Amino acid sequence: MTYNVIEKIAIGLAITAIFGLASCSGLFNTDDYNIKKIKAAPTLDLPLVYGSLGIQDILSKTDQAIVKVYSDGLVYLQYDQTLKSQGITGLFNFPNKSFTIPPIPVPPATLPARAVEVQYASFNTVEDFAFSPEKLSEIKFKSTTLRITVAFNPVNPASGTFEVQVRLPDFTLNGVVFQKRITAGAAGVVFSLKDYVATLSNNTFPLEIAIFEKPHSSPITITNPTSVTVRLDYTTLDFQYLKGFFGDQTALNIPAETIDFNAFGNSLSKAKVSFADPKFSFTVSNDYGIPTKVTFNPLEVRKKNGTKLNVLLSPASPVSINVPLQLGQSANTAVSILNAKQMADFAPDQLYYKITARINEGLTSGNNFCADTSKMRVNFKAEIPIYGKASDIVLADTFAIDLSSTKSSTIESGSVLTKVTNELPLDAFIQLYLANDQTIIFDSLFTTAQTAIVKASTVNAQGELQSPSVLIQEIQITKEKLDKIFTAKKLIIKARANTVKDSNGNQPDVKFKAAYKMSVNFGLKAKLKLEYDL
Amino acid sequence: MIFLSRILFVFLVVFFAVEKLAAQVEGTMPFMTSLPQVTYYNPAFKPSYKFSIGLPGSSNFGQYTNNGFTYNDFVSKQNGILVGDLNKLYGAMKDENYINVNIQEDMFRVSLKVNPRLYVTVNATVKGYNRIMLPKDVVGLFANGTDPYVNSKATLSPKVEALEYLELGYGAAYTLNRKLTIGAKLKMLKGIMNVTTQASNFNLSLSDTYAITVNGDANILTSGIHNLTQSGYTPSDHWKDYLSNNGLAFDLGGTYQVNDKLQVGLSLIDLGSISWNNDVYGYKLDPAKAKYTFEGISINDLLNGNSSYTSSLADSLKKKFEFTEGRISGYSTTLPAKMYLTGSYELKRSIHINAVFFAEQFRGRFMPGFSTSISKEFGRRLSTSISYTISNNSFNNLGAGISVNLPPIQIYLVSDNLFPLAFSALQKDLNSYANSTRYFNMRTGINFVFGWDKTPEKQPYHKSEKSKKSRK
Repeated sequence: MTYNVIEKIAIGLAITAIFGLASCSGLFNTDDYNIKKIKAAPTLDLPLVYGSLGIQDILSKTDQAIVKVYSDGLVYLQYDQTLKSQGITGLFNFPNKSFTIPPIPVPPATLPARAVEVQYASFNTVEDFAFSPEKLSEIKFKSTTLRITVAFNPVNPASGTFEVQVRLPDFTLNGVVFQKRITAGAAGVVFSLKDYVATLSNNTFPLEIAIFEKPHSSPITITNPTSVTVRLDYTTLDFQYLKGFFGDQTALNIPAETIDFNAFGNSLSKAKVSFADPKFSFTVSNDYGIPTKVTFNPLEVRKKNGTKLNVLLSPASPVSINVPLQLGQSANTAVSILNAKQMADFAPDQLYYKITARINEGLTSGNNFCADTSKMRVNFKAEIPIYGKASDIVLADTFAIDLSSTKSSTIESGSVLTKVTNELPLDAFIQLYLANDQTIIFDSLFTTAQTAIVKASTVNAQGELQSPSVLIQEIQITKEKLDKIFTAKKLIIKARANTVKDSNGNQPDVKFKAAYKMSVNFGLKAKLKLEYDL
Repeated sequence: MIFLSRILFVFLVVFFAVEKLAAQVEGTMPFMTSLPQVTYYNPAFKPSYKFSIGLPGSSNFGQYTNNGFTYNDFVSKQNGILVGDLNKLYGAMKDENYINVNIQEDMFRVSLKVNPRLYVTVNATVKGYNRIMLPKDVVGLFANGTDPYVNSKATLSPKVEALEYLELGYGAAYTLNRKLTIGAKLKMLKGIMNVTTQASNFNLSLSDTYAITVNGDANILTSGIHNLTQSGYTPSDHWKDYLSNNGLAFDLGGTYQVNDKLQVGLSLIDLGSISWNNDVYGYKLDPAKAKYTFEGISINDLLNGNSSYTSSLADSLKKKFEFTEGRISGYSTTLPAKMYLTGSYELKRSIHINAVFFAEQFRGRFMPGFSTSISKEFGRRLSTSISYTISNNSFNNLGAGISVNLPPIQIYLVSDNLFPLAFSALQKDLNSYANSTRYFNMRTGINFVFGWDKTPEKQPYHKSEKSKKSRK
């Protein structure tokens, strides 16, 4: 009986429990799963910059072509630039020339009918181009034209009866003499003298005129007086070459020339540098067969800040330029620079020069020649081994940053990891400046003590690498500085570098070889406090 | 007494080895012999009723396990609002956090005692097994950042396994002699859907200069998933396609009556595999391509002014870690195989103390568990069990099983941690239970049962054995 009661109670309880649990949904509070935020406190280590730099990479990218390496690995800068000038050719600009032959009488007569032509009259003369001061002996024309005009007076019946032959016996084209028949007419006839070679005698040339009676079927009477006028007009008197004596002249209007030195960018603008063994030279290459003296005035190296340094030549300016033996050849004249080291240490941004050239100075005769293509080339060569010492080299770059969308409060603390393995004999102090959008700096990231990030390698007595330096640092950034990063619009990285100092504080001359590398790894460690709203 | 001390010894050994215990099996249910579903744990088990039938809904099983963390390990209240705390979550996690959600639903089931020796069952059951392995470092990367992985490695290799299939089982238990009963079940399987992580290796490491190296290797096989992502696809219109995923499995088991009081049993469940042929798609990451080291911006690029920090990182990762998707040939997967080693000791008439060591083996993971219980039958009307289970690194699992037998109706509810749930329900605060649980399972339903079986004394082997003895 008791067992039955217990059993019934138990069954009742069990059924209640089963259905009770089945109706549990009302006991469930879904608000417990309404998560509003996710939070985390991660410490992020991120790589920022990596790679290795040689001296070639540090030299400005715009001038990489001039960065060379000697066989022993020493890096040097080689400037080899030729500036061409045709300033002398500009002296020989000849004006158009016209020659009017005085009226040549045509003898009066009654001409019987004839079936073949016959020479009726002739006239020879010598004409003078009268160039000055040039006394030419030969000219090969380029695009010169010759207009020949023939006029009879009275016009009839002579102009219908005769033709005029103009012959220039010293004007030849491939050995063929210039000889043309012209019928009388007001406009004349134009002939090209292109490629004709004219042999002159102190600018003069012979001219032969002949009058031919053309065949006619009935007699013609030439009245008295009858004459013929011949006119020669030379236009565009240019040349492929000239020979003769060109006179004592000075070419003044030769434009100034410049050679820019960009290898160091602006990094040496305030630096003190000393190159151990720079080499500079000029070579003047001359196509003109004319005794010439070139005056360099000025010849100087310049800095962007306006300072200048005169370049001293040997032989001194004006420099007598060697002359080629014949047309088509060139003659070189070497000019060395006396103050090469001073020039290199000046760390110039530009070589600037202006030349004037005087030909046939004090001469009254000579056998000069020049072609229309003749040039005077001034070749400048510089070899500056990166071997020496320097201080206050400044490398800087500006980057735009915008962290305005990031909450500065999320960063609790931060540090920059630097690992620099340096084979270059160069110390560098690196600072990161924070600037506004006007590039006005309002703070820097590192304290002065923290900026010594790159330590120079050690060198031997020859200035070559002895052992690389390895510097690993974790530079703590204060919360105050970190907060300012978020207001910055620009980040300016500035490195101030010096070549290595010895134990006495002196800077020996050091070599920068191509194989020397500075391996850098910069990373960022940031402890964050993140909260994401859901 | 010796037996009890042995039980205690086993219990202690298991208790101190539980750090790795994590199973997706049940501890209370195998001793609920009043329920026809007891055969799911050992085909040699014979239920108390001679005949029973189950219709859809007769057996509903749901299970959630998480060997790593609870909801409470993730959230906290700050100024009255709920905040998810990744650092707190990271502290609670295991290196590999397995999260399982499993379901079973009987569509049809029949159990019949054919004769005193033979008991047969037929069942049609839909089963779903879903497992995600979330590596601790995935959360660690967000919670702690990259700093902990300097000169170290973060293992970010999630794995997903999903297995949904229909099982048609034909089982039989046969009593060989007075002591030994053996059982087996043949299962014809039809796969519905599968996700198999064949390979998943994602690692992230940082050098001492913070250079980040990421490499990956993945090969994910799927069946029945790709079509679902295509617009206009209705699975019911293509139901025949799913018939091509065939499988076969076996359950094997036996019980041994050591003496009048003690019975032990051993079973191996779901030994088999499914061959997936329908809508098979692979998602692959080429390990030769999927590797990238980000050292920051090249200083040369920086000097040349052609650098972008974020785009150079994002572009490279996108290019290198792009999954290739494509149709693949068919593949097969094994089922999560389970093992139950049971012992049941009759303390008094209708009171048993029980213990079960169970384990699951699936795709390289061995997951053991342990449960002990005491069961009591109040006549034929009520069967109860109270259990304690250690599983999934979870120790607070006080379970219970209740079966109300009002033939032909049998209502039951079994769970390995019913008590905390009930206690929370009484407190009208189920949240405290849900938020702190790592292990939860429940099986409930209604069976139609007929004919409570008599005591074993009437089994046929008595007569035969007696006759054998008399012949001797």
